[in-house]
Amino acid sequence: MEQPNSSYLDAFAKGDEAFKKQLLDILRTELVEDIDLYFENLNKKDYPQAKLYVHRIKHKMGMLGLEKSYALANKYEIGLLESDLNQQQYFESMLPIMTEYLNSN
Amino acid sequence: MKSIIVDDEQLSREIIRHMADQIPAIEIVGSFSNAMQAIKFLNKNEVELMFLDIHMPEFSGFDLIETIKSPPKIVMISSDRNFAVEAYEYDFIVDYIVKPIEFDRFKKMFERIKKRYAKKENVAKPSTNGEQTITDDKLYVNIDRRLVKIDIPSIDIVEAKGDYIKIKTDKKNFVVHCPLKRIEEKLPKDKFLKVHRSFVINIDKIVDIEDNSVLIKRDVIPVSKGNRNELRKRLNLL
Repeated sequence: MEQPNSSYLDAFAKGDEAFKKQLLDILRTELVEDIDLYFENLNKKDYPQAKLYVHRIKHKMGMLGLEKSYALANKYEIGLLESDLNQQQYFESMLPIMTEYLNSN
Repeated sequence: MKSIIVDDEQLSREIIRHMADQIPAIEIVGSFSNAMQAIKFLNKNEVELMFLDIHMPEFSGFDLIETIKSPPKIVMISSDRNFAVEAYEYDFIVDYIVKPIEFDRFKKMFERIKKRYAKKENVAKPSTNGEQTITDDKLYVNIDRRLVKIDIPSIDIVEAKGDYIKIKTDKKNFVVHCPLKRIEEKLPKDKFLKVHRSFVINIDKIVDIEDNSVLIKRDVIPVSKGNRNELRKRLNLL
C-alpha cells in the first residue's frame, strides 16, 4: 500500500516545526471528522454528501504525498455521482493508514 | 489588496493565509468556513480579492458567486480540475489553483493579478468629494446613500440628464446626481470621449459611425461637429 509522507508539509513549513505541527494538528482533527461524516452519509446512501467528504479526504491525501491514492479517490469521487462504488475498497483501506500516520507524527 | 478566504477546510484556510502573509500587498481581512458568513461580510465591507473554494457543504463557491451583486476579483481554489473551464466563464475569476497549493503557484497567481490590473495611466486618483471614487478600473457612485461599484470597462455611455447623469453599462443603468463634466474628468481619457455636450462614450463600444452619430449597441449617439475630428483621431482608421 502507498505510504504517507510529509514532503509537502516540510516544503511548505520551511523548517518552521511549530507551523508544521499546527498543520498536522488541523489535518488530524479534520480527517477524523471527514471520515466520520463520510461513513455516516455512505451508510445512509446519501452519495452526493458522501462525495463531498471523499473530496475533502482526497485533498488531505494530496497533502500527505499519496499521489496514487489521490488519483483513485478522484475516480471514486466522480463514480459516486452515479452511485458507482468501484473504488470504495481501496479508498477506505487508505483511511486507517492516514490516521495512523497522523497519530504518530 | 484587501482579501478574504472562503473555504470549509480549516487546513486550506491556514495554508492560504500563511502564503498570503508572505506577500505584503495582500491583506487578509476575513477568513470564513462557509459562504453565508462570507456573503454577510461582503455586504458590509470592501473586498478586492477573494480566495474561494468550490466544494463546500450546502452552498458551493459557484452558488456564492451567483449570489453576490458585485463580486471582487476571485481566485478559485479547488482539488478538482474539472471546473476550470466553467470558472473562466466569469470575468472576475482571475485564476484557478488546484490543491494542494504550492507557494510558487501562489506567487505566480499574484503576479498575474498585478499585471492584469496594473493601474491604467489615465485613471484618475480617488476623489474625496464623496460623489465618485475611482480605484483602478472601478468607479464608485453614490446612489441613495450607498456607494455602488461600477466596472469602468463595462460602461457604454454616460448621458447628461439635467443635474443627473445616466450611466449605461453592459448589465444595467445607473442614475447619479452628478454633472457630466465631473465623471468625464474621472474616466480614462484613452477610452472615453465626450462626443456631444450631453454624451460621453466608451470608444471601445462603438459599433459603427456615421457622419454625425455613432452607434453603441442600439443607441444612436449624436456627435457634435466640433468633436468629430477628435473622434476620428482616436479610431484605428484604415
